[in-house]
Amino acid sequence: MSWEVTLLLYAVLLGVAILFGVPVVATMSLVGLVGITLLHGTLLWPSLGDIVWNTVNSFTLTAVPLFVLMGEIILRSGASSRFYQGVSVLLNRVPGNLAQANIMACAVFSAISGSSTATALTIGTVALPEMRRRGYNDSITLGTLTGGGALGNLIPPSIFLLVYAAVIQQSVIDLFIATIIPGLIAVLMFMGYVAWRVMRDPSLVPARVPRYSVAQWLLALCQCMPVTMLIFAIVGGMYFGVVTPTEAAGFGCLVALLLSACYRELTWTKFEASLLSSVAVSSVVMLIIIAGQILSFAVVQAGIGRATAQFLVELNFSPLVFFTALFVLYLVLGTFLDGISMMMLTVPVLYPTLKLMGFSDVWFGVILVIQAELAQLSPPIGLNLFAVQSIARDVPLTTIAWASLPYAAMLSALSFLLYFFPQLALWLVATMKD
Amino acid sequence: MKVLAGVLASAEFALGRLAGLLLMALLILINVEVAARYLFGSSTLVADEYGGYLMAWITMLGTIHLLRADRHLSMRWLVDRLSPRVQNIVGIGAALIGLAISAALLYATYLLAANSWQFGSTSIQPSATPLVWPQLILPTGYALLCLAYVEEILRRLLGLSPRRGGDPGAGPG
Repeated sequence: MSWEVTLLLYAVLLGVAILFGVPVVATMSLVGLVGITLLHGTLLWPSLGDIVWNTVNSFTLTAVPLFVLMGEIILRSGASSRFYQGVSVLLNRVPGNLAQANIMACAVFSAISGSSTATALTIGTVALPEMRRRGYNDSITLGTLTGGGALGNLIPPSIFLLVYAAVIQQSVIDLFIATIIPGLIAVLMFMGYVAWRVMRDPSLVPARVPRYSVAQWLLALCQCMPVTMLIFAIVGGMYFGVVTPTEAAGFGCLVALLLSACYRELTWTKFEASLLSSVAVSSVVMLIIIAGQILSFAVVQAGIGRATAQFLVELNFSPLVFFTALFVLYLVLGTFLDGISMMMLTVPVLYPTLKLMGFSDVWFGVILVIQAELAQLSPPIGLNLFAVQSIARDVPLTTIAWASLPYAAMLSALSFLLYFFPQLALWLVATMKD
Repeated sequence: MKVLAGVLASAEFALGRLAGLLLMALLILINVEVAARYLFGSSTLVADEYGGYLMAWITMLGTIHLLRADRHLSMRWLVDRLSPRVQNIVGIGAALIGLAISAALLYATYLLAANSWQFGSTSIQPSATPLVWPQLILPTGYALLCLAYVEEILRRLLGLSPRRGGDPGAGPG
């Protein structure tokens, strides 16, 4: 069977199974298993045992449950509502006030929790009733929650990048550092957009802005400090080579536990729930990676990656056209797949092409993160849209999707900005190595 | 059916808590390694290796909960628009696919663990841990997953309501 027919068969099987609601893990494993069996019968089936073992027995990926646990503890410890209150005071004079606080709080918490959806839910639960009470228009509130949540993996630490690093055998720390500047640009874009909208249409926000005393400002600073310090400790520890990503995650968990002990809000029941939730999220991620590795094995055995790379290079597309085609491909995939599944499905096929065309692994990781975050905002199954709808049940999903559209457009613009100026991602990595 | 559901519910509860305990063990192990390095200038020598083993156990112990709580990621846009009867048929098909894959992986991981047992394979790290013990969780996990899929198929064939314990925010970020 030629590689073109094999690729078509894989794509059809994948498409049909996903469309009929077969879980992504089962779908990818199925295609991998069928692919291997068509090529070699059951001869290579024993190799699947090694693939599973080598995937789950990974020290790099050990950071996944620990980062998730750190986020779970922080989210349940009361630190999130304190941070939100603090930021809302500190950003009091910025046009958009609480809408800006949403973006800032989402950026920080999604970085810590590693989950865009959990962040949109947590901050949304605190922010939405308060903003409605104060008279903010939903059209500005909803977008800041879904869009702000989508900053999650762009600001380190990022579960998505941990998985990407493990798949392509790249340095996790390089990838984390590479997302810092693009992440900050995204935050500034989002905040700039909110300020611009509010200045154009002041009726979106309440006319009266509360005034705060110096003591309240100092309290706000204290409320923001612990979580901010935690992020700086984690990222700084990795940047300066003090700890590995897994150690940073373990240490972060310890600090999160100490913080929650200070707040006295983390009960044993909440801690147990944090552990169970972390186990569940980690298992989902690991099973997707196992399935992706089985599919990748089939792709390699069929020579699809190499042949596709050769084919695409011979087409002689300019890098910009190729990049635009990739962007559109991920945009389409993102409408019905989550970020990690999307990565596991495409990287085995596209990676050889990217190498041949001279794209940097680290840079492409940042681009993939942005695409994954776009997927969180893309209907019909954008998880951030559902998360926000679960706390704003009176608002139709289409309204939330429309409110999120400008943020999706800004993330798309960021993607192209990185294409034209890759140093935005790579410069800080280079300085770290110097 | 009732017996199977009862056994799986107990297994889900117990294994979920065991996985939680192992996650705590991982947390302690990693922090002990950091403390040992910076406070005493030494190393546990097993943190990387056992961290990986714990990761394998946590993953496999969590799988049965994922299936029974319906926390696997899937696209339900089309399926939710089908009639309940067709939805049930599609659900049985999806569960059969899951069962077939779990069975294939049970076979493959059993061979892996059996080979490690037969040849007395040990890790190349200083601990020289016999690999069969950490690897044993792989066939065990897939065997439990097979049972959970059988339960899912029986549940749908008998017309019992499917479990929908998951929430939309269950997936990774």
